[in-house]
Amino acid sequence: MNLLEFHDVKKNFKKKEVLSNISFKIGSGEIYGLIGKSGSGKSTLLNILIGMVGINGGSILFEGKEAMKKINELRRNTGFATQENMLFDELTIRENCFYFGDLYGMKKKDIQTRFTELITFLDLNGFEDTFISNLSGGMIKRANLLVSLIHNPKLLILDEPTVGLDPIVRNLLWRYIHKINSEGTTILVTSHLLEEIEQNCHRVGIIKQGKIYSEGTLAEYKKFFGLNSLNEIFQVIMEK
Amino acid sequence: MKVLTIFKKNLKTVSRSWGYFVVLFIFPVLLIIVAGFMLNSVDFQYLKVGIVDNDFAYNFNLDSFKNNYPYSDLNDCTSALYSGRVSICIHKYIEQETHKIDIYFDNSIRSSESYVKRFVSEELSKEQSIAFDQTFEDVNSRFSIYSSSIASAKDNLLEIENDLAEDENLLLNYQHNLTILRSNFDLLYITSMDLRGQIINLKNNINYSQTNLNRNLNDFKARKQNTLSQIDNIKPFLSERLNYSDYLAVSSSLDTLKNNLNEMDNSLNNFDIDQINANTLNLFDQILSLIDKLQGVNNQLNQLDTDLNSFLQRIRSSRQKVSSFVETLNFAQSDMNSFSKDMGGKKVVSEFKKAFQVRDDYIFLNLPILITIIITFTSLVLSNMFIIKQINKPSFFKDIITPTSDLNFFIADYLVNLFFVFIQAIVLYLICHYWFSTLNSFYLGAEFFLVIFLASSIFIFLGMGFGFLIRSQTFSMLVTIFFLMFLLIISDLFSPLIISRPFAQFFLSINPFFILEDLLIGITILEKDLSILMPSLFFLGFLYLALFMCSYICRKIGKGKIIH
Repeated sequence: MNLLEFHDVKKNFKKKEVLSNISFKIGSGEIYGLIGKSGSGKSTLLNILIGMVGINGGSILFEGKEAMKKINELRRNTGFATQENMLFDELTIRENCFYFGDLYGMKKKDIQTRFTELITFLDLNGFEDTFISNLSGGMIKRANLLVSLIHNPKLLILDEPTVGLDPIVRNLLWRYIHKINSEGTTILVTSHLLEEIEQNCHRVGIIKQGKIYSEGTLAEYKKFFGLNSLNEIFQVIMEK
Repeated sequence: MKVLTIFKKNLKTVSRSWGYFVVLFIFPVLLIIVAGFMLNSVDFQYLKVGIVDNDFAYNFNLDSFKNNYPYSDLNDCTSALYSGRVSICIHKYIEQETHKIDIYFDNSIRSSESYVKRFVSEELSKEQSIAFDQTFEDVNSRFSIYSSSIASAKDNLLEIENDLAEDENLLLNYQHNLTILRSNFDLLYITSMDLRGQIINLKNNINYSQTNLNRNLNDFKARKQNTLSQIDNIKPFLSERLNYSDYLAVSSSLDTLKNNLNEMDNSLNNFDIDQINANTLNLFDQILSLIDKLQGVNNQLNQLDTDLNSFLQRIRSSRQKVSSFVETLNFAQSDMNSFSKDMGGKKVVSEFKKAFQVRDDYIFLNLPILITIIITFTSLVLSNMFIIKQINKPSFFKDIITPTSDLNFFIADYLVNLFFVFIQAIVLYLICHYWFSTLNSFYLGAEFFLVIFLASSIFIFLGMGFGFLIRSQTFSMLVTIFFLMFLLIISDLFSPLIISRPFAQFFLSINPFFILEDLLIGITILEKDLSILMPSLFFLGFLYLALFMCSYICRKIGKGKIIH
């Protein structure tokens, strides 16, 4: 079953077409990697998904329902984390969680329950009341994940989640992402680090000039292009 | 209650920054203390005054100026002014017999110019007022002397007039007596004049009668002689003709006749008619002489009457002149009194009276502008800083992707800024209340907070608007500070409202900075009633709503920019 379906989605900024007939599907429970060059329309696509930008054509279905008509519903079911620290440095992890939980319309009791689960899940025990500014880089990433998951989204969007992290922390983070995914959360991830995408995503979509150029599993790509790595495949596609 | 959640978050994020606390609480108190210290140190005794005294005749009191520097030449003094060794130059000199004082001041420093001008003009005005008072008293005392002299002269003249009146009455009595005398005399005179004629006639008659008498006597004597001769002639005849007896009888009768005639003649001879006539004529002459003297008396009486009339005329004329002079003196006296009063009335004492009962305390009087600056600066800059800080953080993005409306964020952002401004307002209120003993009633306190609420909200909306529109922290702060400067420039800090052109007055009247200052003066210093402040409050209310909308639109625009 598909969690998310894009059907001929168009997006223009003024007269410039940024997204042109985008169509792809993300299955429920999968980790979907979206890659493309800077300015290819990746960010616009993500902004549409988090309800920040509307569309000029086509449709987006979330769990089979038209998502753009109920933006807040889409927002409630979507978690978003980027390479940047999106939390408030002056607040503790707990305060950030309760704040965002409240903004997502959760009850305090539910926030507390979810917070307790996630703090253990992401190995942040003992840091609940630590200010974000006092956390290490890796812990901030986890705290970000924690806050992004506080409202228990069905889709977690990760925009360049591992940028700036050392390989050890990066691997650790991916372990948590897999852990989150294993709990049933669908993950849409964008990254310029194609090895990560190759290693961690079930399916990959390549966006080029506002269009989904191709999508499939890594095996399908390798078979189609006759190449051994996603990096090589991406190079070939971009050069076309 | 998402607004409350966001508000609490904002409160936590802000309150955990020490910088904010310093700016919010320590700065205002520090600002007021520093302003108080600076303003409290303002004293004109520190004014350095260069004095070029070329008029020693006029002793101008310079005691008010403690720091005096004498210069012999004006150029030296102005050079000292140019180099800053003195702040003003006072040049005393005489021109065309007039004492003149020229005051040279540094007109390149606008802020000190008005103070120096005011202080020096006040001091000069005091001096001029004292000099005027002295002159006025002098003139007044002279007037008083002249007036009393005139009064004394008037009294003397009135006495003279009375004397003249008495003399006139006396002369009138004389005239009356003279008239009676004259009427009596006239009777005598007329009678005597009549008598004179009669006497003259009589004299003539006597002369004529005497002549006739003499002629008759002579005639009688001749006739007697003739008769005697005839008798003597008859007798012989008779003796011849008549017997003797008869003759004797006739002769005796004739003798008797002759005797009688002789006796008569003798009697007539004895009767000295000439003497009598001469005596009578002499008497008549004496009477006529007397009558002539009476005529002389009459003439003298006529002259006396004429003289008396003339004298009366002169006395009356003198009385009129005295009376007229007294009138003139009365007029002069009344004119002098009136002039003296007028002079008192025309004494222009240009004293600056304080229309309102307020303390003459520099810090107190500058309190509204200090509060206005603090509130405006804090509201505008802090709200701008707050928004810039927020929107430039990734957390802002995380905020806006939550299913929470922009209005909640906007209101919460506004409230947190308002909260901090209000804490500052409380600090300022406490300073006002306990330090300056103002805002003593609940009513005034409520007015103070209402005004602060409206004005600070307007500045918060402006600051937030700039923050939302301009993401660049430096640029946004620059725009905000320039806007703040703009508000200060079109306030009455540089050009007072009351002497500004109408268009400038319009800009001033719509400047929330100026309105806030004006309202705070009304509340903290003049303790005005709310009803008087209502028009300004309504205008602030209008600005509040308008800028709320504008700022919210700015947020929407800013959010769109961030997404793109």
